[in-house]
Amino acid sequence: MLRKGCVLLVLFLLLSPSARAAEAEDIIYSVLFPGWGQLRSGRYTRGTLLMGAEIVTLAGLMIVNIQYDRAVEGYDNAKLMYDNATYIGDAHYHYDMMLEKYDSAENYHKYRNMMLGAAAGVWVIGVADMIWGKDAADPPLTLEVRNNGFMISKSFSF
Amino acid sequence: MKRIAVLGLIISTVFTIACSNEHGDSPTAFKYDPPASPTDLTATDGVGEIDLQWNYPPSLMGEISGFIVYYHVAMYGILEPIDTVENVTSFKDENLPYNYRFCYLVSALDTSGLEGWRMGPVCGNSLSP
Repeated sequence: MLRKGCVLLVLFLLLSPSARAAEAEDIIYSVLFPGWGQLRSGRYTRGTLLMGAEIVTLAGLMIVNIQYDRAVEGYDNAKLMYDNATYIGDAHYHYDMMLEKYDSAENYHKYRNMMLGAAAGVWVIGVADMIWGKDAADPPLTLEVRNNGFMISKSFSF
Repeated sequence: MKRIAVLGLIISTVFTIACSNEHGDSPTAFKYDPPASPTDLTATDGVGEIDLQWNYPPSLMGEISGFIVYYHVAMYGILEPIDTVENVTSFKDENLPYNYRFCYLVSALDTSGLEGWRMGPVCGNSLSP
């Protein structure tokens, strides 16, 4: 009877408008930044991992983007020098430089897309985890009475 | 909540703008077709002067507008144009200090002003009287 009552209470809390509103709010926070919703809902390890992964990928994205900008700038400069070259030796030098910078820009463009993909992937995982990745609602602290004593258990979720 | 949404919007806008630049199409093939370098460049020693002689690049006589003569010191990386000559294939470097060695390069200029590969260096001595 008591167990049934507890289950009904949990169900009521989960399905109550306030619970759903809090859940929706966590999802919105997770949409804004991966891991934020998890941190708000008490899943600290998972939230920290997702947030850390997103920060790392965004930092990587910014670094690669700076390198890409430099390569594009180098390419533009080499192209300008090549277009204005009057000596064949200079033209060859700047043409080779232009090809090198172009290859470099192509590579950094690829890396930038990979970083963008990784950041988007972490974001999708974070949101999907908030929507579908709910663990069984283990109580954080339980007390179980046994024949020869009792057991206190602490559960962690991540 | 509104503030957080605005913050999220700002962050995503910054990243979108930062990552929106693109490089252009791949470079085209090498476009220059410069004249070949002069041939048979020689330097003849003289008293306080050095005479340079060369020939037109083969089959390009009509396309050459002139030649650039450079003074060259390999040890110090000096490469300095000293004169541009038209319609002649010789150059006399005069009033040189005696007993010094001088080196030169010569390149051809086409009618569009593009300079071809440099020929040389050839070196000569300015003799004392």
